[in-house]
Amino acid sequence: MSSDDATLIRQTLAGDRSAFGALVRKYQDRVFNVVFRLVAHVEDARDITQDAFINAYESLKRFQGDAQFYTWLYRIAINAAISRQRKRRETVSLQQGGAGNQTILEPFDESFEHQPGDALDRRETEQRIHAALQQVSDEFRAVLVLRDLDGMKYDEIADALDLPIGTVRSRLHRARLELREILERSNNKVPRT
Amino acid sequence: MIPNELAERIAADVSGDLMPADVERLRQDLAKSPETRRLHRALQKDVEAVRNLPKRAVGIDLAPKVLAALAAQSPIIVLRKNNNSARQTRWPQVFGLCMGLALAFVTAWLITKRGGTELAKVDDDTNPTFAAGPTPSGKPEVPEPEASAPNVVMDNPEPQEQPKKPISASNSPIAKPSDVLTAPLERSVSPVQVTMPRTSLPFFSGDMSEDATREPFRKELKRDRDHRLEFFSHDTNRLLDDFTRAVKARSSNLVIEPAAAEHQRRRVKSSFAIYLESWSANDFLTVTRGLAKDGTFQNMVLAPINDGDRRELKQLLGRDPFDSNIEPVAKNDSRRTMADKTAEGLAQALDKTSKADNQMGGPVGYVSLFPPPKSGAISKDQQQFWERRAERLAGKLRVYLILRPLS
Repeated sequence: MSSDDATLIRQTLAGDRSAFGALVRKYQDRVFNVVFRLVAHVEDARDITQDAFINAYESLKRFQGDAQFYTWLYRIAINAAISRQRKRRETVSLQQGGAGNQTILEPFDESFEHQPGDALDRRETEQRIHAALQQVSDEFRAVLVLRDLDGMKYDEIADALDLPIGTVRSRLHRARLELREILERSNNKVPRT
Repeated sequence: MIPNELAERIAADVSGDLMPADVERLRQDLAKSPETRRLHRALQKDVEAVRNLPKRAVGIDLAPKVLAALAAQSPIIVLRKNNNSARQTRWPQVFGLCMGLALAFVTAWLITKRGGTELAKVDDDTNPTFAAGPTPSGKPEVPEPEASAPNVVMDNPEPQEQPKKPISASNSPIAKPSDVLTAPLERSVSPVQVTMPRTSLPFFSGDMSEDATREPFRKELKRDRDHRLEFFSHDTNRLLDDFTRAVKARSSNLVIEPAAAEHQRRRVKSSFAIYLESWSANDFLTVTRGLAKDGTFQNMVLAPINDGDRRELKQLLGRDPFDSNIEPVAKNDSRRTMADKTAEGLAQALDKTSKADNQMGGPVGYVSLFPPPKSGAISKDQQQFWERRAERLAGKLRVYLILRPLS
């Protein structure tokens, strides 16, 4: 664990809530980015991120310093995200009579279109990848997002998901194949590079 | 069609996880099959595409929101310090009570034993100290020896010579042994009243379907008129929703403080405090069973109301609801008019009562965030509660409910 985090945690446990505020600011974007790719809904992702920090605060006494704070935080956030996603699917499934396999696409940043280059193509590609990601099984998707999007190492992913490293590897490989299958099924082109 | 085993090897290679021994094998497979090469290329592009997804930022500073939510729901770290202080003081009381009991028992035993020993040693007819009770120092009281009288030696095995004179029951200087044994002690011993301290009882929602659990819960509810009942739930907002429905189903109402209502509306994970005094033990039993059946809460703890709870209730409601000086708002009482007035008056009173009940919407409870905010003056909502508070009926309980989220 980084010394910064350890100091902030110690101060938080001593009753200094502003120290916990610093931890929130440090990790909020990183956690939000991962959670957003898991639940595909900005408001939900914000709520989950916020709840993850609240839960982390309440459980901070039980946090063992042998792991990274953020992997522990990720575990809380990812479990909440997967749980929320399942509930959402159940709800959508009930509301739509079982045809609830649609993903909720968030509008992308308008500012993105003002960037030079083939912005529209890139946006289309991203939407396709984002939509396909939502159809990958929850357990596989979490590994894929943590590895490729967040750039975590295997041992960190193993910590965050509470899995053996071997399982992380095999899930990652399967996640890649599943994503590929979904993209092919969507009858679209592979993104141009 | 690519075999699964080969596909997984390709995915492993894309992730950089392929063992050196397998790399050569894969290279041969790739050289042989264009389909394999296509999959390999496609997976590499997928990885790149996922990595190129834009990083999304939360867009707002969550720290103030998180800290505000923590302050509102007063997390367990702080709660344990504040809330349990009153309860922790009970243990020294219990310990002190036990020690007091032990001391009283030992004292009583010593006094009895001392008296019994003396009784066994002293000759009934000769020893004038026989009836003497123990002195404050614990020694038998010995009268001043007279010049003519021989010294009395307690342990003297040979009885002293005494002038013979008739002794009657009235003039005997010595009490009978039976009198001594039944005589009250001269030294007063404070009586000790033994009371069993009532402690918090946990109940689990899974057990509420069984009579074996419900019965102790019912007994505890009926044992006192005032209780603190804490529910622990994964979703306190849902629990509050269900509880509010149950309250309304019993023709009661809840005054919900705006901050609590806002938390409930926005489904913010919060703790809620509720004060209710219009339900009987059976009402609580029925509602609790219903909530447990729906899985709305996971466990609950029933405890007696203590001074700390009363302080919290005072914060919650602006005044102490247990304060007997606070009069409930005057309400038409048909029973009184029945005795005093004619049938016509009775009909009018009943009519007024039903109208008043309709306007007030029946008995009322009060809901706020937990812990209740500290405030000097009575708020508008608290005032509304006090104005609508009805006279408490016999058999109804005063219950301080707390809905806590499980982390």
